[in-house]
Amino acid sequence: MEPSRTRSGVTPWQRLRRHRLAMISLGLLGVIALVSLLGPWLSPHSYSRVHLQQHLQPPSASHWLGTDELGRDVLTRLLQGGRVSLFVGLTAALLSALAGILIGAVSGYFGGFIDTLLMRFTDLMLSIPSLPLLLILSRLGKGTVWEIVGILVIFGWMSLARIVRGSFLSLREMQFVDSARVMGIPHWRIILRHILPNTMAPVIVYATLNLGYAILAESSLSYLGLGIQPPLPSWGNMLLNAQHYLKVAPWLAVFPGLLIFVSLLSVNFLGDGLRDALDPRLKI
Amino acid sequence: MYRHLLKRTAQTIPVVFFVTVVVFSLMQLAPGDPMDMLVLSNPNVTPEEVERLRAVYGLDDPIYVQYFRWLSQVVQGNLGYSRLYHRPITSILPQRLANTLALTGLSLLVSILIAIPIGIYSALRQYSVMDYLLSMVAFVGISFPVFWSGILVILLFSVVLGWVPPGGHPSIEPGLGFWGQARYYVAPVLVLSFFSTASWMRYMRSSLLEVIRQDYILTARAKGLPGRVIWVRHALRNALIPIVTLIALTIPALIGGAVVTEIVFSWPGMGRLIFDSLMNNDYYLAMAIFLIFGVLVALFNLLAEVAYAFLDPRIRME
Repeated sequence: MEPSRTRSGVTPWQRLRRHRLAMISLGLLGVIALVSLLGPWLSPHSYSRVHLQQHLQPPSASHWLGTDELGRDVLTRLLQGGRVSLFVGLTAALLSALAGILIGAVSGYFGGFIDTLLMRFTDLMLSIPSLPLLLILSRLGKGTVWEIVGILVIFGWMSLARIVRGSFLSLREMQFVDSARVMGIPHWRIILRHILPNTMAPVIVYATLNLGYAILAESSLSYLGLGIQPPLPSWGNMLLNAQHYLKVAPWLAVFPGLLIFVSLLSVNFLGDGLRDALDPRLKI
Repeated sequence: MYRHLLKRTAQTIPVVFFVTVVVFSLMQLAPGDPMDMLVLSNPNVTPEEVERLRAVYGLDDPIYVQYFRWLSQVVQGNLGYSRLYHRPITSILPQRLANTLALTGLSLLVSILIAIPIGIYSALRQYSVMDYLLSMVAFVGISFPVFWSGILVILLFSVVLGWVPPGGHPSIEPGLGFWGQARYYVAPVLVLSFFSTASWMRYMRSSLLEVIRQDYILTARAKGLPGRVIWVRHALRNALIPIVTLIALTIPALIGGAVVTEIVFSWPGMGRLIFDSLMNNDYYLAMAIFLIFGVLVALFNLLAEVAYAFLDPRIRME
């Protein structure tokens, strides 16, 4: 316990701002998200229109990052792909965080049989190799955005459920919870208003790391041709054909991967900074 | 101790059972009912004939009957027939499994040999410039998507420099010497071990730093033991315990990474096989591979428990 830190009046936000790498990462992520969001208005090209005469052009003044095998502007597709990849990543991370919090909170608060049942299931989900199953599931589906989000959520909630359950187990023995019960406050209100806010530090850190996991999983699936389906671009599926043109058009392989890498690196740095800022004792 | 191990062994049974249930349920969902395939390949088959064959093959039985019939076949080593390779699945898997284990095993070895010394070094020189740089490298390593590092490695070492083949397996070029064969391993092992090296060196570092704060280290110092003895015999040995478990526990992730690596490098292992089978709608083969992966992971988790119990007397005494 380090109460002096909190009593000194330094808020977590102030501590996060001191973490230089985390702030740079936050800024980078913000820029990537903003530019992707504004993409259609920033670029004169269409992300889907095919121009076979202009295929595989190297970076130039009119096509800053070159064109792909169908003559589509790579930068424009990267921006559109950013919308898709970040949307899938954020939504999947958010939904799996919600699922994890719900399962963890119910499990830890009520304990007993429900706890055993839910935690056994969590253990089972954690002990199966997720990637082969992700491949099979996405192959069985049609590869729509929401389907990919759903598949990622199925495999994304477990670690958070465990963390939240752990915090709930210790917090529910606290006197403020007892007093809330004595006052006749309903269970769901105790869970939401009295216990949950106290578990937010690890939840935020793990949810951030989950975002990285979701972006990575989506791009892996899409790279394999099992995720987001063309012509809709995602950073992963833009690499799908890039490997064939490695000799003649290496820029096709470099830029989408670079964006995935920079996003993941930023998310990981941000997670690290958040961990330092919110809970210095927390270890991963 | 034995009771503990027995209990752990018993706990892997539900995991394996769960994997079989998942596999079987997915098979029901998979498109390409065997009868549809039959009709597709031979349009002259009459509906009556299809009905008769459905009854013969037991496709109209209740689902749990079908499940247990399937399970009893699996237990006897019959995983079904591959549509893609026109061979029994059990005859395809051993060679592929050997290739995957060679790749993951080698990467595991490389990662351990690099990560543990570096992690120790970082802990010994905590907050030094080198420690800071190494932790940056670790962040880069865990943020590098395997498929992209794979593509970049091919671009650099194969397309530009021409040092290693852009993919494939030594078995496609018979009569290669040791170094000729080794060239095929360099790129995939490099890519696959990068990620695990990055995360394990971080764990090694924090585990050692955690141990060094313990009271028994203080006691050892108070006894006047030399620094080297304290670090090696008291700190390092204890710090390695969680690392051993962690390594066993991250093997599922390694297998996952191997799936993507194998696909990038056309490495003829289980990962490449599951990809090829899915792309060719050979779902039974894909499920069989997933089943093998599930059992493998359960075994490795059990192995982690056993190793932990052996290494840590506190667990043994329970």
